[in-house]
Amino acid sequence: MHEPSMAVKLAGVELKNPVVAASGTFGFGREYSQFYDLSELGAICVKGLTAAPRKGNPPPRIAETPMGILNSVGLQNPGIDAFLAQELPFLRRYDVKVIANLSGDTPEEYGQMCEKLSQAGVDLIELNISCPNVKAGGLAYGTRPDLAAEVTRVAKAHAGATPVMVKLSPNVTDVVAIAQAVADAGADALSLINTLLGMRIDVASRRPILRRNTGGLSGPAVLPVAVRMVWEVSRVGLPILGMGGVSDGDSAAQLMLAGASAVAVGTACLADPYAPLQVRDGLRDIAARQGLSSVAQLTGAIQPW
Amino acid sequence: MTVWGMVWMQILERQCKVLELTQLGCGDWTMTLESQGLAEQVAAPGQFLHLKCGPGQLLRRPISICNWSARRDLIRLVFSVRGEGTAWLSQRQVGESLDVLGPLGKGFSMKSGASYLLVGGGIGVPPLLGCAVQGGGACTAVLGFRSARQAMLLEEFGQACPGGVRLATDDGSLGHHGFVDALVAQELESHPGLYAGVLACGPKPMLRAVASVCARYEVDCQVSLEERMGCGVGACLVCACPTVDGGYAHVCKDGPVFPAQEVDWNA
Repeated sequence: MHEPSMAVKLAGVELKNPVVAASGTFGFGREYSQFYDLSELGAICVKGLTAAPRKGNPPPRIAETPMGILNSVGLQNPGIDAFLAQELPFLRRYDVKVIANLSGDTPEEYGQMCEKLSQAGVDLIELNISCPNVKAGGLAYGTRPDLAAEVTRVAKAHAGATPVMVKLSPNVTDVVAIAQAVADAGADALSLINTLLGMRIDVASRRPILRRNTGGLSGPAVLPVAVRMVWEVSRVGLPILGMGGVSDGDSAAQLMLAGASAVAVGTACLADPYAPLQVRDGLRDIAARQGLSSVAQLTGAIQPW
Repeated sequence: MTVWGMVWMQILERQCKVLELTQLGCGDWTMTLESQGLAEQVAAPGQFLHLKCGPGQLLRRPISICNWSARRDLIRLVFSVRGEGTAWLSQRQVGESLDVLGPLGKGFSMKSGASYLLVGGGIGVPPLLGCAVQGGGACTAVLGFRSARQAMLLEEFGQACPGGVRLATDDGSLGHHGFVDALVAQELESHPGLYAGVLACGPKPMLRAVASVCARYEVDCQVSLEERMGCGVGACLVCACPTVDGGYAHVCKDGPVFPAQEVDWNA
């Protein structure tokens, strides 16, 4: 059996394989560098950055659910300046693309951060527009097409030549409307899905498990939602980083068939540090079995009824 | 390329065979694993293993190392059944293999040959046996349980603690009627300067009370904390522990053992 090529392109960025470590589950790579060479990955999307350091939410921050987890970390991070000074140089020791995920309180803050990240030479910027603590309140940036477009426009104007990818929230009625709005505003790529809002209650104490009551659902439970949304959004025509419940080659291939150029592995890393490599190997096996010369041929190759 | 060069701190993921699994009189379980090299990596008592608990559980379960032997490649865990994951674990058969990640976290810092006062409550008791056996000094144990029926590992603590074992139960069915902090105060009062420190593991209210007694007697105190955990290696940041500087430390990587004065007990 021949070896299919694993290289893919995402918004013009060459990845040696389609597997990306998802933001928030992989820190800045340091912990997982104990287990394997980070250069084995296509890209690392770093822990969500904010302009100032954030200490995050009070615990408990995690609850297990059927085939999933709820999390409520609250964007704990050392701030963009500490990332640029301490974490980016570490990641640059590896032959792996670096995606910087960022959240701002205002469009201007997104712009300022994009400028810093672009000047520092990150490979791709991912805008998190479903941050729970933004000016307009709640998930507003990610749930209103006009606000999503405004953030995208300001980010693009400050990102120089660095491509900008917008991470979409699934907590909306019409994800295509948001996707179209950010595409029209100049986004270079889309990533989806962010977590689904959820809740788990301890029946004995009648208390939610999470200290903030609600949190974001991820893991295999959300895969069908992610596949459906990637498929719907693919008609917008932007390159897509698919995520949501990827745990093996099959789940990754589903997202690619639905339209994703690359896939991110998140929750699966929590249980198994080697999960991204297993997804990569699983994808390669599927592409080989199907006689493809390149794994990229899976992208959008769905045969819908 | 590996950035993590120090062999003694290596974290491994291994398939470890269950060599022994029996239920203790108290209802909790003792399990011995053929460690596939993990025992050799244990740096201190109080570290933990992160175990996959069957196909139905997405997350691993963190379980404190009770004792270990690098020479014999063994790790012993003592755990209680708290939910579906640990129930699955208790139903394994000898000879089956488990997916184990570890050793993880920072354990108790012990000066070789020094005497420590070990203070445990309930299922927090097992890791202190590792302190008594591996620490090398003459330790004393103060162990608390809800009632006599929940008491565990007493004989082994008796053998490993030349300073003796003092017991407390909430219902008075064994030893002192009340909480361990009263016994800790008695020990520190009657043996000033004897202990290099107090090492404690148990429910948070117990730890808070013990930390407060230690502060009063100006004795160094280390506490082992619990929090709902994700990755176990410090990447996902869910197992947050409020610290006195107003921020959060993480139980899996910065702990589970912390200097008591760094913990924000009022959070």
